[in-house]
Amino acid sequence: MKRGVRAVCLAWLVVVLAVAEGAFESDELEWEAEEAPLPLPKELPTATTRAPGAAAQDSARAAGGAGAGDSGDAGVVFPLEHSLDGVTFTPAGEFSAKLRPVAGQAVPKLTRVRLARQPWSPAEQRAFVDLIARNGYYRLRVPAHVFSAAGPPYVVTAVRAACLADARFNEHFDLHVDTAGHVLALGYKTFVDCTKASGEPPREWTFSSTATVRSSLTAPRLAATLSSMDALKPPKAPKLPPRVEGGGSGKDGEAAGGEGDEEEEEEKTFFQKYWLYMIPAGLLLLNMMAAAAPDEAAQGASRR
Amino acid sequence: MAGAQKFFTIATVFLVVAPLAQGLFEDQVGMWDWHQQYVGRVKSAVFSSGTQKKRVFVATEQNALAALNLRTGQIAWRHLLGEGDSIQTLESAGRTIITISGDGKYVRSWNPNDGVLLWEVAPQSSSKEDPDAPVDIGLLSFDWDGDGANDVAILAGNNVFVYSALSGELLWRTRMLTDIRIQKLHADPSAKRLFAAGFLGVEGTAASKLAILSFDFPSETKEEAIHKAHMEFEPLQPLSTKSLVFANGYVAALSSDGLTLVTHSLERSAGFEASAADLLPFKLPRGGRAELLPGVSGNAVALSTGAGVVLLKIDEKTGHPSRTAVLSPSEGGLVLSDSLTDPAVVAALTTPPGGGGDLLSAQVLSCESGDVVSKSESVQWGGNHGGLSRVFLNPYLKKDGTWGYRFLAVGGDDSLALLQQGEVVWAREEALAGVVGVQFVNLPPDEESAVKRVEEGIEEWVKLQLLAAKVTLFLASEEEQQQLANARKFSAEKMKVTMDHNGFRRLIVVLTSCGKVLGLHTGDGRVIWSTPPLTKSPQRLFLSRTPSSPRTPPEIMVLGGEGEMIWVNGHTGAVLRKQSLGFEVSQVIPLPLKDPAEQRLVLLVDPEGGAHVVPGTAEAGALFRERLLGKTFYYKVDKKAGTITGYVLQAPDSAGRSEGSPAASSVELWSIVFPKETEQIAAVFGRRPEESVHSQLRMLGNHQVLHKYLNRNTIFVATTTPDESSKPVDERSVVAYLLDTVTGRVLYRVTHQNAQGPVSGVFSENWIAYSYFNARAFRPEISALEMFDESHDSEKIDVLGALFGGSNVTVPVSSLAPPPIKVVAQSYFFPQTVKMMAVTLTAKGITGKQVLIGTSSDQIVALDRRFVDPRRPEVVTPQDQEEGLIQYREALPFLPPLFITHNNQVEGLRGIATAPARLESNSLMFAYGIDLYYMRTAPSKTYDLLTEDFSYALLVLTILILVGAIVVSAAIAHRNQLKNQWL
Repeated sequence: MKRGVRAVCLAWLVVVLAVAEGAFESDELEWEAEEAPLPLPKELPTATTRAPGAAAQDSARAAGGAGAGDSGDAGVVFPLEHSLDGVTFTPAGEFSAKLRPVAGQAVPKLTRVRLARQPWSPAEQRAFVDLIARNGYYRLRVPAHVFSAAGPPYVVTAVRAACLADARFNEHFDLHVDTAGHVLALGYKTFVDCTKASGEPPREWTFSSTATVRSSLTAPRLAATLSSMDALKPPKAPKLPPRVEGGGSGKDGEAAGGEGDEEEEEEKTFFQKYWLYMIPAGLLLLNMMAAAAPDEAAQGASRR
Repeated sequence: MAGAQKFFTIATVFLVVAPLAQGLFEDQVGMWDWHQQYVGRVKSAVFSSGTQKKRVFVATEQNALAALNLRTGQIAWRHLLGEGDSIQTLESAGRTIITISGDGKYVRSWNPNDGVLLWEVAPQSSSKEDPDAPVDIGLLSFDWDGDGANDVAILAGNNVFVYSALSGELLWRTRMLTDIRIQKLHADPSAKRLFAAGFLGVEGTAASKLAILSFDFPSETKEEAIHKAHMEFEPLQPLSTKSLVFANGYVAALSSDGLTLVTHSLERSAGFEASAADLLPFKLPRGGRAELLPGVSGNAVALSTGAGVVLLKIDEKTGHPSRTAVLSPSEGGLVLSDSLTDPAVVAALTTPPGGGGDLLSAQVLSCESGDVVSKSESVQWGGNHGGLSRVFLNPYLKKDGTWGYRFLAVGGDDSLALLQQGEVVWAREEALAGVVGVQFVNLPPDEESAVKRVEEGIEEWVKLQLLAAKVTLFLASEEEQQQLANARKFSAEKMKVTMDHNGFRRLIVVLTSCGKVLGLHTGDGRVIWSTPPLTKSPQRLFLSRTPSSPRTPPEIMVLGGEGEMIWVNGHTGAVLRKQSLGFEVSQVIPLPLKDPAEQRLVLLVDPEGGAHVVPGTAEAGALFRERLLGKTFYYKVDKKAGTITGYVLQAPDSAGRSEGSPAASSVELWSIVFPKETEQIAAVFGRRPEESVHSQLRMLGNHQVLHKYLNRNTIFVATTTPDESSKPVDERSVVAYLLDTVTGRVLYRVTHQNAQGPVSGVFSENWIAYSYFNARAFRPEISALEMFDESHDSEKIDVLGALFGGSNVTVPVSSLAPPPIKVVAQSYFFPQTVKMMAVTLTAKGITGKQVLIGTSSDQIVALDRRFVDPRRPEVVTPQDQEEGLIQYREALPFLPPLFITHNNQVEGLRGIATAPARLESNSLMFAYGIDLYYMRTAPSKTYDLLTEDFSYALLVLTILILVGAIVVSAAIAHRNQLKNQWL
């Protein structure tokens, strides 16, 4: 039992440490295979032939193979929309993601998200330069329910236009999804310090976009070593759970077995056995003496 | 090795716990704390009768049932019913008090002497038949089951029940009343008969017919009451279902247009309609409606119109109403008590004109003739009550055999006063049961010269010191000990209404739900000043002006509904000015700016997203535009839609600037959408803006440092599974988020499986503690998160560099250039459900912190922050010891000395406010619910202050004795030396 507890605790600690390590997404771009960025082909035909909103409509349907990749995995495509005037949103590109089935869950997991940005029309470029001049915000949104219709609600994010221009359109999206595949939040990063935007219009209009899917961490379950009665009882402060007694529980092998400990206790001397109680008593005594301390302190001082 | 390890861990735990103990000695009770008990806004009251103890039983809007001593106003006993269990009806049935609560869900009987619950029944079956059905109690004047006490009839869920008042046994119930909506019960005192009156054909608030049922309770058959009569009456006009009264053998109701009074006999099939317009002494204002006052019955009914109250006597034979008395209201209003049958009187309380609301005039009118039976002019009851809201009348037999009357008056500010023989016997400031906002305010400085102060106080001080010395040396008698304890508890020094050096004497300014603002002294909780109710729907309280000179009074701003703003002088409570914006404020953003007049700038956002600067002066507007326009971000939480949306305030588009146009408009920047099916927002909280952080670093045992991530734009959000109680445990979860409110970025997200709400927590510096319920382990848990900035990790802290500004540490944290963050997390079990959490606040943030946990038992536990430190190690290394880390345990300590409320309960705990004292070691804590509790805590002990009970006299005495001893021993030594040298 004790060993099991110890193992659980150890596992828990490991998870805690893992949580601590992986707690926050580092700014550093991870060039993993799975989250590989999709550089935009520069010679993409301009989207003038496309009716506005077509991308959104096309991709709105959750494609069980429509947007599928070659690997045979199911895929999903959903639109990214942007707003250059702060009011209307127009299609700006589309995300495509692979779906990986997860055991025990009805909804597959989104993986391998890629973003294909639509090149900007001259009108959009002008609007963006104008936005920089006004020090306005460039806003982006994706539908929250990527599997269903591409309608509201949307998750929205924004960046100062000047900041995006300074970053030379290097951008990174974090899609925070839940287990049901909903997008909760859209994280947006441009790899520059946005506190010092230069305000200069961009020279090139090519995007370099990456995207990652982020899902929630799961908190480790608390090892229920204490029965509910123990937890309700006020624990005596110096009394520690049994797992501590073996010393470094990190090295389970070295520590003596839990049962051995109990036998040992019988051989202990009076002081060894009761020092737990004697120290508090001693401290209490000290405390009580401290009440009358001024006498002694003064005595000592005046003798010197 | 293992032994040493054990010793260290145990020693650390002990050393940490020992100073945390807030336990008190008996004579220290009340030295740093006070506790006040209230009942709330009284909605119904009954008086004790006959030989019972002289008490008044009250039911309040805060769901409290209490017995107050009629002589002193003190609470004899009190019960707080749960939420959603509000008391609808309260009656005194001889030896018991009967209540109906929770929309007729529960009928309870209480012992009037000690408040013990005698019985409780749920008359309606689990499926609530009609939640809006009226409830009523009919006190039967006979003992049907023969157990020695009169039985009670209960109307609940459109059915009538008869219970034994002694045991709560159900004797009989009706079963078929589906089409009739019964409104009221009336027990005939002379016959064994019960009448139930109601309406037929109810549509909204109108009904087409009046219906009367009567039941007989023959003593031969104990099982079945005889349904004797069923009468219906259809008047010409539809009836209003609002009110229905029994009067003199008749049922009276008003037509829905408020112009016709309908009466119908209980016994005979005879109805009568009278145009109310004929009855009223004055023309009703256009569109004005009369209302039937529900409380007045007996043999008269009372009609209230906009212009006054008319008492109408119902004729016994014909049912014709005739006017007996007319009461016209005064400026402070007029309230009428429920009428009594024996003697048939009704009380009317008015505030006479010209009295400024300070005076009350009470009169008792006969229902029969309308004559004034008893009258007391102008009872002084103090100002600031905001008129009258209710009155309850109690007759008593005077020594000379005539009737005397006492009144329990409820003011517009919820205050309670008992009036008897033309004076206020006692008064209770019940507004304090509904605190909605708290601010700590400095007191004015002492105007007296320091020398004079010392001269005056010296004699008392010396006396006190001698007494203290005596007590320490165990020479004092018990009386003297008591005297010392009292002297300390109520020392003149503690009670002064002036600023003190340590910042312990302050004013706690509270905003109450009735709109009244009061200033309480931290010394004993007495009311220093109060205002009349300022606004109908109070929302928030701010410190709008904190002047640098202590002599200038601080200003407090109260925000009410419709953008109503009232400024109050923080030293006197005087209302300085009022302003109304004319729109509902959707968001309040206090700015870190002050205008030249030291007014703190606040932004009020209207529903369209326009932000208005308060104060609305040109300077304030310019200051905001110059410093913060385009840099102010805020977020809105829509719990219903499950979204959090972030905005930035930018210059408004409208070129034509007019008076009252917003200074900035909101632009939506980001939004987060929580999926409705799986998550709903349970808690959102951030750091307190006034919190001061002493150090940006956390020093580790190995002399390394961790950089705290102290971005003020970080908030904590927790979501729970929607209607979790209906879902299996495996599908419940609590998700905790850390969000950046400027960019909407999710900094951290963790899911607690099998967890459910309620979630509460606290955010301080770079850490968060939050609680939820673990449905699998069936225990509450507390989790802790701590955020560290990792961008500095590679840097070496260089002392010289830091001194001369070369270090990166001084670079401000910005949400726009986010550093990488490391979040550390840990969870613990906690033995009690957590209602709320707060954290102690000290002046500079050097002192350790305590997490104040309000438990479900309405007590407050002060837990050292080190216990909810997510870095508690599994195995404590010497380095950890050096840092002061405590070994990890699943359960948090829960020891009686950790309760800073001691043996008190802050009934109905709703909030905990903390504020720093001027002395770094102390933090002030004020908890409010229906009760108030104040306590001064020293999370790391009072290291910078000698305790109040420090005995200076003993110190002086010891020194004197020692000096004497030195002199004497020196003399002896000298003599001995001389003697020795002679040898």
